[in-house]
Amino acid sequence: MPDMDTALKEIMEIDGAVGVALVDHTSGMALGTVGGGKELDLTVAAAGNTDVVRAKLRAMEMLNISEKIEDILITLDSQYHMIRPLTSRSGKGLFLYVALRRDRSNLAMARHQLRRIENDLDV
Amino acid sequence: MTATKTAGPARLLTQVAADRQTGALVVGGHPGGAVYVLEGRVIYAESPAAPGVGELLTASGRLAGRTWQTAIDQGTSTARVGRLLVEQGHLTQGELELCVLGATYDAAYFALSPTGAPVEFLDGAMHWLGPVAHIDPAAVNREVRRRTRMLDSIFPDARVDTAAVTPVARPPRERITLTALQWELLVHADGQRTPADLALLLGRAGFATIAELRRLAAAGLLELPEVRAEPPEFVRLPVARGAAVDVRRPPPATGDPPPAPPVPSVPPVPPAPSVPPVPVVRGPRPEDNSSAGPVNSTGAGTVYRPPRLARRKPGAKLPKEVAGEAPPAHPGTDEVLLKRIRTALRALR
Repeated sequence: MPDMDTALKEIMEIDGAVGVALVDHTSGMALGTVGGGKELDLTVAAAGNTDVVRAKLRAMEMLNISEKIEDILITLDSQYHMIRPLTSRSGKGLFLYVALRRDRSNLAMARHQLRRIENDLDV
Repeated sequence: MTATKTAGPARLLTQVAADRQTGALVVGGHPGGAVYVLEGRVIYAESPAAPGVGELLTASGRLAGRTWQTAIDQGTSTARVGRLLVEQGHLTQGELELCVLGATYDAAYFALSPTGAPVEFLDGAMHWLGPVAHIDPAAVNREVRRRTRMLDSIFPDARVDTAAVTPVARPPRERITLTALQWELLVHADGQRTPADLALLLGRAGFATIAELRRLAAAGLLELPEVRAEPPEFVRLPVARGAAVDVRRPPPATGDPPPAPPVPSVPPVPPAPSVPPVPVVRGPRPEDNSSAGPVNSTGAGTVYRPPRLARRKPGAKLPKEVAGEAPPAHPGTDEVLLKRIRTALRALR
């Protein structure tokens, strides 16, 4: 991967993408964002969705599930929000957060593309 | 231009950025730190409380210590350590960027969060890492404020951030759940290491360390600093050595025994079978001497028993009489010293 911005821009090319953020899970800080805007403040979204990931991990722990999260999907009226924890060597503790417009995106394709980009992305 | 003044470091950073200056904003106090600015954009920050890029990369095992040292030796003078690492293929640009971003925001929190500290701007100063990331100072300040709020929402006691970490000896609940980092922190907390020591030792971000420590404190798993600020709990001393009789003890009963009210309630201690001829002292244990009044001593041959040493809390000091000269406290150096000894011993082989 040449640099982080390139990878984030590649994710923005997924059909219907509105914004993407690479988030540090330990602090809830967005290390990089592309897209977003007035209706979607990505830094706020990064902090808020860190709590989502943490809550889900806690829930799984209480259920004694020791599997890893591949992705978390949240479906809104007009948007899809996808959270994808990175599993690469140095990407531990990071996750990708992508917001997609529901009417312009194909969920299966978007998940597939995100998985592919994550594999390329050796951050 | 060098100006030293006491001000809000965050405000000064905004000022420096507005003038598009280049240099280092050095913040004094504890823990202090430095924020490096290139033409008004933040390129790096460092603080003693936050592991730098080198510590993060080597502690995580991503880079060998030797690789990092070589890059430092070659690139420091020209301020291009970061570029060298990428050019030599040790890191990808993305990895380096992420690491620098993480370390910068981490250190910036410690450097910029104090509301008043001695601040100095070194004009033209450049960091040896070289420009890797260019961050908007407003974003840095915003992030610092967000982190301050976040910590206060977890557990509003900033003393946890700096005081030596002491886990409670007995957890307040029957079952507790810890995250991986919390476990690491508790295992390595020895009552001497501060949060900054632990962050460096574990190669974890300083802020993440503090956040987890505050969570632990909120869960009641850490001794809070004010508890330990009390005079250290001294171990009860053996009052006299040898077989001397304690002075405070009343002289042996002379024929007419005192009424001895507390004793009858205590079930009589059966004499130890192994030492039958020695009369056994009944009643309260010797260590209760100070509080208990007259001690009933049956018979004239009172045997002195040294009181048991009280169990010390982790971190409690031995009294001077027992410990002798206390060694100077250098938190963290024992590790360094042990490593040096190990290296020296290996060299002997």
